[in-house]
Amino acid sequence: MRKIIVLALLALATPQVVQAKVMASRPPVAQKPQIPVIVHQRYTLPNGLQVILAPDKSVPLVAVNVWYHVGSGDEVLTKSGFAHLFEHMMFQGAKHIGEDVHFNILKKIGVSAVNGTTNTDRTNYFETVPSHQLETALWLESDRMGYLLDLLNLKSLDNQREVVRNERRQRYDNVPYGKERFVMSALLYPEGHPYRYMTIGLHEDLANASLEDVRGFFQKWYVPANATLCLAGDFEVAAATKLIAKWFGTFPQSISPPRQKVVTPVLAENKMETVPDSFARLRRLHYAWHTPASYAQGDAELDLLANALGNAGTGRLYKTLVHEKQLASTVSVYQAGAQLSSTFNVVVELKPNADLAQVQFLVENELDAVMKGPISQREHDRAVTEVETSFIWGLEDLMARAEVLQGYNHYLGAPDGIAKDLARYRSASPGTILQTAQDYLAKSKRVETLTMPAPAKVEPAPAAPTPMGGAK
Amino acid sequence: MKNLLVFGMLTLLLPQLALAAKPPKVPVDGRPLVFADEPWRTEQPKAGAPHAMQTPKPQLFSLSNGIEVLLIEHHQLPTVTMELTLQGGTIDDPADKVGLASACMGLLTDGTQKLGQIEFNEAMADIGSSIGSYASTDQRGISLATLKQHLDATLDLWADSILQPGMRASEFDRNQQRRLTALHAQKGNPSSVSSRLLGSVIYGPAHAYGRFATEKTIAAYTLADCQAYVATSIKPQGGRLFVVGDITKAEIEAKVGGRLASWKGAAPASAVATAPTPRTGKIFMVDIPGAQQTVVTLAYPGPKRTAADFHATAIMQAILGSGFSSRINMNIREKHGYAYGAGGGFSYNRTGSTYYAQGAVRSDVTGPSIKEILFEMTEIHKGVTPEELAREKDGAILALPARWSTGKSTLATFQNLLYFGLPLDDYDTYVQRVQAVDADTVLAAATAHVTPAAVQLLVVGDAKTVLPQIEELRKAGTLIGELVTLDVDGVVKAASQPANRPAK
Repeated sequence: MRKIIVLALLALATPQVVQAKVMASRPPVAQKPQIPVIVHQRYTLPNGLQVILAPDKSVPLVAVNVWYHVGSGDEVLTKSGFAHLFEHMMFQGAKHIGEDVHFNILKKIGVSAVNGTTNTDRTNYFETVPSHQLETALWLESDRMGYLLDLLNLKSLDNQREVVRNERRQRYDNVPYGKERFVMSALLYPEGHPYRYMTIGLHEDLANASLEDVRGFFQKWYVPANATLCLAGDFEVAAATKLIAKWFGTFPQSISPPRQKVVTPVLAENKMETVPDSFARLRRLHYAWHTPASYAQGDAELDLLANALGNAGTGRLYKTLVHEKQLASTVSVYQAGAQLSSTFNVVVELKPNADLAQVQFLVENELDAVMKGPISQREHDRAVTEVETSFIWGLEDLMARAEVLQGYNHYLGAPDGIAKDLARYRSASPGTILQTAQDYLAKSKRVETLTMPAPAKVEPAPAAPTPMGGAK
Repeated sequence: MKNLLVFGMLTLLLPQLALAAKPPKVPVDGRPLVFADEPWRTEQPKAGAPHAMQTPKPQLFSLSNGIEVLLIEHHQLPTVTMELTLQGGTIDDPADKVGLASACMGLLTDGTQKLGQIEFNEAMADIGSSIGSYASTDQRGISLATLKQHLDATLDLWADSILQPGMRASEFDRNQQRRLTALHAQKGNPSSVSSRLLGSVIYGPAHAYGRFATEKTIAAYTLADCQAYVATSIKPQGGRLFVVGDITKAEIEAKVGGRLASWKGAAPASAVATAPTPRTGKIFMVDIPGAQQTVVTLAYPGPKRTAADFHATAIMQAILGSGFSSRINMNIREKHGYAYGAGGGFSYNRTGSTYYAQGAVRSDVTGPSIKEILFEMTEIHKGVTPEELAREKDGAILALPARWSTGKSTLATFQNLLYFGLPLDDYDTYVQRVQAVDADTVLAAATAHVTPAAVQLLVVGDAKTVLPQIEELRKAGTLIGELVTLDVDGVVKAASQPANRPAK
């Protein structure tokens, strides 16, 4: 009963398949899984804020999730990393709630998941709270949407600038292969392209970010019409709608700003760069190509091809390099989707004694093979099954469900995108995958990095940041 | 068809209330928006009563071969997760073959007698299922996750990996090579080096919680060792089967009970952890030349999970170091900007716990970071504020439903209770017990369990930058005790003179 109300099952399958389900004694060899639907509705406040409501009363929790439709893809030259630094500032306080108390307030009301994240395409903010505390979450979200700048100050910006630079050190500068990611981005994207310095950005750009930047970014991008609020969980639709009107309804009318159009770079030649890395102990090859944007024609095909080539345990490159020849410790292949354009990536970590030329030759062979002939129907079906299965597992958590709805709303223009999304994979075929590979994965269109373990370079210590505080 | 209708209708239901609020008309001309002055926003909304929730009740029953089953039915999604846990683990590894249990348990799911490794992987991938196996210090497990429609096929593979694992020489060799390569790779990564060595610093390099696999111990075990291991140690007695998802007791009895009916017997008794014998020294430095951050860990053995003051300890550790609002994080990150984040708490095992406070801090402020963490570990002995106490108590009580928010988290909660030997109805009285915690019991827990003098300090970073800062702390008396320099494998490179007294 609950299943029908909350997560109705949508039969996307053909009539034959439905019949197969009725005849339950037959082994369901080719049976497609039934894909659950997240029951929801969407509306827009007169000021432009979009709202998605997905009620589910099974547990007294509600996931509150706000997407601002701005990401590092909207950054401009000398401002790399800013969208993410700005995200940190959104936790530092707003006029009515006070300074640096966001987490404190949420902790006291029993928050179980709280954070914010930034990628190339969007910035999200979320908290899962006990359902009777929904209004406090709306209070917090509305205050930073409307009144962030009232408490903005340089001390707080300086602090978060350091925190973010530490985040960069922790995620990129102090780990194996972190350097490679920057080199790869610089090979792929020319100066001025917003993906060149990745979402985390350059230390120097972070160091130069000013209060004026924070104000300008907020006023341009964080307007109600450029945001979508999603609630998933235990609430009455009428009551939640009323609360949302109370906290967000008096905000002024706005329009979402146009996002920059950036032409996908075309690589003039096959480029390769060697990256010395003092944290890496294994050599690592990374090949990348420019490919169609998330949800664009060809994106799903490349997801499926990535599975056929690189899935751990079954992919062609895994079988050859890791299993049979034992030249690589890991292989990973993925289509890294993004809104302006994506990249297709092949990453191979070599075993200590492996012959580099042999590995390169074998990778080339496998890439040639998928450019010359279609993958098998079994490889194709396996990849589609993987997509469908992970989609279903991903619906268990309330916040994950909110994210699914937000994602479709952002990329496809409507939250009910499940059928449309999965249809992309179900309508792809070994033939369309081959065509896509031929269109995008030519050797002449790729860049390569080779990470080499190296001793640490003796460099002058980086410019010491402004001393902050000191011993108590 | 009916479902399609449901799907189609719901997106058309626009709540009329949404149109009730009329915002002021402001021209959209690129000028900053003006948000009204609304002083009523200053007050945090008053919440009503929490919505009631019943603690889920697991079903308990036994299979014919004695395996005890704990089932949580969860029918919202067409998925099933199972984990068969067995007693024992790496604690039972022979001293010269550390890593044996992990390797042999891993081998169980590297192919079966019927299917080679790749065929086994493909059979799983074709239906989107996954099967895995592991050995931790004192628990072993073989798990599966599948869509309900593929339960039978997945159970066939899962049961085969328990009853008829492949144990081929080729698979053993690959497995062993994979472990050697992974070990080699992690030696360049400061946080991996830190996790590998931490236990040895606190419990001693020979202790079950302190030892770790090396090239030598990995090379020491053979396929014959794993074959013997499987023959003697993969036995159902004492085993527990944890199940959550779209499945019933009757289905488990028929499908799992049926497949495992012939499986009988008991494994040799598992070892029990001995008393810690911490490594000689107090401060342990591992040099990672060029590191831009230092992974700093202050740690020592702590109380048992079943201790009478557990809840007071939990509230105390939350105030001190777990969560964003904790003192250590607010100090290291929000006040000083030394790290992306810092914190810690008690990490419980079957016989006790490890207290740790940790952060990856900027190399040039490693000394000040250690000093600040020690400051907070001392300051907590003065007690906590009423605001901190209320935040953590209210928060813990109100967050209780989140434990039951998904099938997986519900199962993990019960799994933990059984692991620690606690009753399954433990959460029935949770609220009362947390409510009973007060400033006095929190202070007592801090006094008993936060002991800066017991700290073993592990510092993994650029020695050239960090050592002078450590020396400064030693001179000032902030750090007391012997400084030992280790290589990335924990081998002693140099040790300081043990005596250094606080400078007056």
